[in-house]
Amino acid sequence: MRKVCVIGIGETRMGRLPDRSLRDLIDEAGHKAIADAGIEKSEIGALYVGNFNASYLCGQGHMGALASEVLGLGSIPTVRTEGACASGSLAFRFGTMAIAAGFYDIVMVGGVEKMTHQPTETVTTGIASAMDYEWEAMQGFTFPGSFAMIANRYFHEYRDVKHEMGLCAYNAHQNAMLNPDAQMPKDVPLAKILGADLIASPLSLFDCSLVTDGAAFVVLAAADVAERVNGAHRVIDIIGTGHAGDALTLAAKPNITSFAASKAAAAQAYGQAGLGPDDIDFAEVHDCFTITQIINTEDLGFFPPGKGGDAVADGVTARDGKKPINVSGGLKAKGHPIGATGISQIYEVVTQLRGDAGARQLKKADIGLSQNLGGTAATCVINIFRGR
Amino acid sequence: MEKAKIYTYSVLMSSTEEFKDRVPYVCAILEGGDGVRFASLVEGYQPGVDVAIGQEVHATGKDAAGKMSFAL
Repeated sequence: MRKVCVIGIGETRMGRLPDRSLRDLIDEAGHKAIADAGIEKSEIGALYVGNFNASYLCGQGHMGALASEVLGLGSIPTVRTEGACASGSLAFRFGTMAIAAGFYDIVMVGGVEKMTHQPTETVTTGIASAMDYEWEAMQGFTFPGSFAMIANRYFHEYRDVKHEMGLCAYNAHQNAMLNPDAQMPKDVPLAKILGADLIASPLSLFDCSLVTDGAAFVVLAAADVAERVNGAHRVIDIIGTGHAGDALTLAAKPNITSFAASKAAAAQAYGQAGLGPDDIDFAEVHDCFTITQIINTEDLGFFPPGKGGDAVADGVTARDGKKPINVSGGLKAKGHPIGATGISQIYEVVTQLRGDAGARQLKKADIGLSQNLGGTAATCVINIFRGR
Repeated sequence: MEKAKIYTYSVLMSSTEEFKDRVPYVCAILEGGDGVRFASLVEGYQPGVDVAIGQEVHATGKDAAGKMSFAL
């Protein structure tokens, strides 16, 4: 297999962007990534675009062709990837594999989602299509409800970490204040977070990630090409990549306080990289809900099962902690433009590795990890990156 | 199946277009006597009513789709 590098990144500001169309979002993020890579469009061999819900929320399918037209990529092959909230990472995964296998030298991957123009119930209904419609959604399940059930089970098996979940949200908003692309860069007091209205017990408003419009793209290249074009930036190697699945429904999983897809994808990525959890300087993990962040950091091996909350309380996961988690603000405060989220996470990891993160730049950023979940952890993609 | 136990649950305060008029209501993963788990809305929730993991719920009949319904 050939080695693959990230040579260009671009994203829009994340947020409620009523004046911006899908085309507009793709145009900005895609062209930023191409310009950042310093390549000609004619060098791009294929395009993979993650999108989850535009068919339902925007009446728009065939996203690969739409993005290709917007970016002026001509007759190259395009693919739209869909794996719920992991749709963007799937685009990244398949683009990486296509280069590794030798099909192309340069590939563009990205994601886009437009959600905020619809009423909350419509968005909730659209997102609920990522679960089993007949067995779960038609029993009244929602995603906040499903992760709330995971949280209650976690409280039962380990301990009540509602306070630590609030700290996750607090850290996310603090980090977002240093990110110009973040949707909610707000100094939200912990008391307000802990006192907010319940959405689905035990999750309250600030335990939930955001509804977001946004797009993010990256340009990938074979290592020899990256060395030729990447003059302006530190070369970023993809040193490990993992992708695993699990049963779609919550009821079919033997254990819901740890995600099997996450552990399997992590084992693949760590194995390829020849590294372990202790070698990772920082990570962007899938905090669709605050409890999910805590479980993810355990599944990634950063902390023992049931101890993820302690790590948050001890400040380990804060920006100035030993294992900074979601320095971007995460899905919680940077935003969760579903199909773009996996790429938005990678945008942050690459920005940190390059040393371009400005006020939120980490002192030690040589090896970073991204972890993106789809559904109630039925799909997981994990990538490990190293700056040369 | 007459009875099942709550494996985990949540009280939902907001929901989809189809269920928004029913909040607050309980969603749960239930475990039947055979140990098989399944997703179910659990009827009969009122604010202030206790719900807990391990609690027994009882079958109330079948819904229009032929699925067994349960209540607290």
